[in-house]
Amino acid sequence: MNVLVIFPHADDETYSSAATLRAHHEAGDRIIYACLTDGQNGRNLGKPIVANRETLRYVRRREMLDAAQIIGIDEVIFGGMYDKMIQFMPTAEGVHYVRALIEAHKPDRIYTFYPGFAVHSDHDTTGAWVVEAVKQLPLASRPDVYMVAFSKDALDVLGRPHVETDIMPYIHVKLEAIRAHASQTSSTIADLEKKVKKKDKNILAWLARERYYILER
Amino acid sequence: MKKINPIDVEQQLQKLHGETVYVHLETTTGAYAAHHGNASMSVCALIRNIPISFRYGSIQGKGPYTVGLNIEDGWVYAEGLTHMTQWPHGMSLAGIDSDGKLAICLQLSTKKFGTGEERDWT
Repeated sequence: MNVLVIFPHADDETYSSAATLRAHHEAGDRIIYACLTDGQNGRNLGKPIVANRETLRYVRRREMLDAAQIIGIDEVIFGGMYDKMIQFMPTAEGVHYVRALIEAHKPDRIYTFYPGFAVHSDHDTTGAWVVEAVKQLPLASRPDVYMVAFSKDALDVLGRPHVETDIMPYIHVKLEAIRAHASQTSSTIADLEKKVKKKDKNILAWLARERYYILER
Repeated sequence: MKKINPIDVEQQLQKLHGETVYVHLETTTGAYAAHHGNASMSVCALIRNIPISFRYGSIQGKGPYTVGLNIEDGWVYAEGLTHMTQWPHGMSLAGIDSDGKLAICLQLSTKKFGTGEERDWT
């Protein structure tokens, strides 16, 4: 199976889908990650500080490649868009970008955010572009679209997710991938690992949340 | 980035005085501030690659520091600065909390930001 992952920031793939993607990798699927922005507006510069505003995008790209290797992502495509700003880009331009990705990589399945239920404007915009791009394709050639929703109202409004991954076989992959995004996670990773070791219910529930809604055809 | 030494900032300001300087100024509570319940809303502002020339300017305070620049028709102002990176062509000043989170950033440079060169601006 060809899997195309489309999220706007390095680390979105890890938090939302590290275990799910690892399972794809172990099943022999080919995974491409289109990481749309450079994440250059991130607030976290690392603890200790490893970047300034201008170098952050390069640090995050390097971390992304490390995380990709840990998860088993075959290729990372950096879209080079500006963090937080994609909501202002012409929709047609974003949709066109996604369509070109689909044509180049012929995915059987796409992972992205559920537009309107993904909290960050870049997440919602990415999801909206993907949904629109897929809807423009003839029915027979549409890939399945698996969407991540994590806003507070998601469960109430959308109901139960259609698919849920059991992440426990891959929890160490997920933690290692989180650690690889060091500039973003170094201040919290120790605490996170401690809580996982103690089997803290809230943390495990949060970490284990790899759930998807499948776009209706 | 290192803790701000105000003397270094003063020297950089002297070097940049009278030049055309590109400004990057932002403040941010983080995009998730409201989601995580720490604040009623996320408040962020960013302005980037605005060329200015300042008539005078300085760093004030005992840390966190404040930088103000007077331009012909107005002001550039940044409060809460704690860390800095010096470049041959300018500097990055930031207010960073104990978790490494940036809350404010003021960058001044005679070179435009985002041309690809900044990979080496460590």
